[in-house]
Amino acid sequence: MDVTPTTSPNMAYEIPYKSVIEDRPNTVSHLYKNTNFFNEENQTQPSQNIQKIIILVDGQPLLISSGTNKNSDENTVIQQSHSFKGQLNDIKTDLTLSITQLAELFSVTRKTVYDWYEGATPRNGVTRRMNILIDTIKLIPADADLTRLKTVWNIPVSGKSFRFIFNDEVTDELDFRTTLEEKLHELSPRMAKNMGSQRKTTVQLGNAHLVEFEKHTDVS
Amino acid sequence: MSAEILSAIKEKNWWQGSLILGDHLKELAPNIDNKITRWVIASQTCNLYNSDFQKVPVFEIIAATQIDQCAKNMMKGDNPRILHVTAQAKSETIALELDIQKRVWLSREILSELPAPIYCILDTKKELDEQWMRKQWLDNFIGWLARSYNRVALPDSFNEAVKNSRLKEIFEKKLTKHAESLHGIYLLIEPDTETPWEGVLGQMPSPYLLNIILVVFEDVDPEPLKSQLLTQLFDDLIKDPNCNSNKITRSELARQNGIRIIREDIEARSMADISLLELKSLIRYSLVDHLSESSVTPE
Repeated sequence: MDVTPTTSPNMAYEIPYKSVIEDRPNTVSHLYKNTNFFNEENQTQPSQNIQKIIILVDGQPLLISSGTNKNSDENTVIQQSHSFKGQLNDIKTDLTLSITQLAELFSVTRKTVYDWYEGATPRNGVTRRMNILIDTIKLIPADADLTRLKTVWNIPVSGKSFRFIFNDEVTDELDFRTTLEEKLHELSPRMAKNMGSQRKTTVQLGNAHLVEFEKHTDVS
Repeated sequence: MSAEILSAIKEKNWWQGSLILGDHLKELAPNIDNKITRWVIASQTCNLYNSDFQKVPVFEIIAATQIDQCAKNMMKGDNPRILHVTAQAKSETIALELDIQKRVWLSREILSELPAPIYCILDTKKELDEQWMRKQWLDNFIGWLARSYNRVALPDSFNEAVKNSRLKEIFEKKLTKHAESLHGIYLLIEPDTETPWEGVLGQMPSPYLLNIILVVFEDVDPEPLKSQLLTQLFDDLIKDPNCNSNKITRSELARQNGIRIIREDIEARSMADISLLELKSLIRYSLVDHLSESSVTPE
């Protein structure tokens, strides 16, 4: 990690955002994503409008500042992270989703997701759902593996699936948030870590019996 | 009578993949093409041994020609019409070229009257050869036969766009150069419209959205292949065929040709990381000859 001593008497270290995010993905980046330290207005301010904050990383005090010379790049990172495209990428990464699965999660077409990635503005309902989802998945029990959510999100446990609830009409935001959170907790035992198959078999049936699933094509 | 026929078929150990010499069929099946010197049994073994001759009266054979050796690009079943395999006898192995267009159904009684087979297409056993995975001859043969029915036809306009966008050359290079690490290239093709396409895939009009998934073997890191593909599609500049002085990326060229590709929809994954649900929507890209385009007239 690129750590530079600062001249400020109150600051122990000064590091650029990117380094913090790349080097401490499980600690600072999480905090970084969860905390609205820099609002939209501040992101577009010139670099002389310096903002600093000290946080603890593994017990070490660190300064995060928006006023260094590398600001333009770093602020871009911040802005992207707060943009809908940034949020899409966060969800895509955290839940390990393909574009097809993102489309399925939001009950939209793949074209819509392509358009979002190319700058189209999503409907209000989608952004609200996205924000709530980002908040909610942080509350999932530690022994649950978020990347397995896609494997259980269509199972109607207790009558309704996660996707059904996620795409249901939102009349009361708090109620929606609570219901989604409860559903995630309900599903979390089915998303337990290390549930992936570790087996090694001696039986090999070859590829021929996969033709039912594997569709080859003539592309010429 | 049926019991005797069945007993003779079993005794001679006929099997899917067994070789029949053309000379032996001259008298028993005089109507078939007598220029064909070898035939391979295509019917499933259970049907050869079925005790009900009314329900299963016939078996199918496919024409074969003996060749010096198998060509690498003909052994995996990627070519929809021709397959190269080996057939084993007790102390000899021969190479065969099979032609899917030349197939005949014969009465099952004939099997009981033929001399027992000497050569048979077999899978190499795991314990006997380290290269056993590459020598699954019978499995390749069966898969190739089955795919002749379930192979998916893509729209000509899509095929044309893949070729004109120079995506085809990328796919084919990958399949050849990375044959050892790449299990296959899988595509998801959808209309680039909000209206869902309800017709058959082969008639879907452009424009298209294209998801490309490189599926690698379980012990291969998918990331380098993905990163290389991203560079080839979104960074490398090639000549713009519409303006020679211009340079353009393949993804831009693809968009001009009616195929939208975005970085986020390019994936590389291990075989261990793909589900049946996903496979149901994906099509495996194959190396095939140009005659598969329905609008192309054979030369």
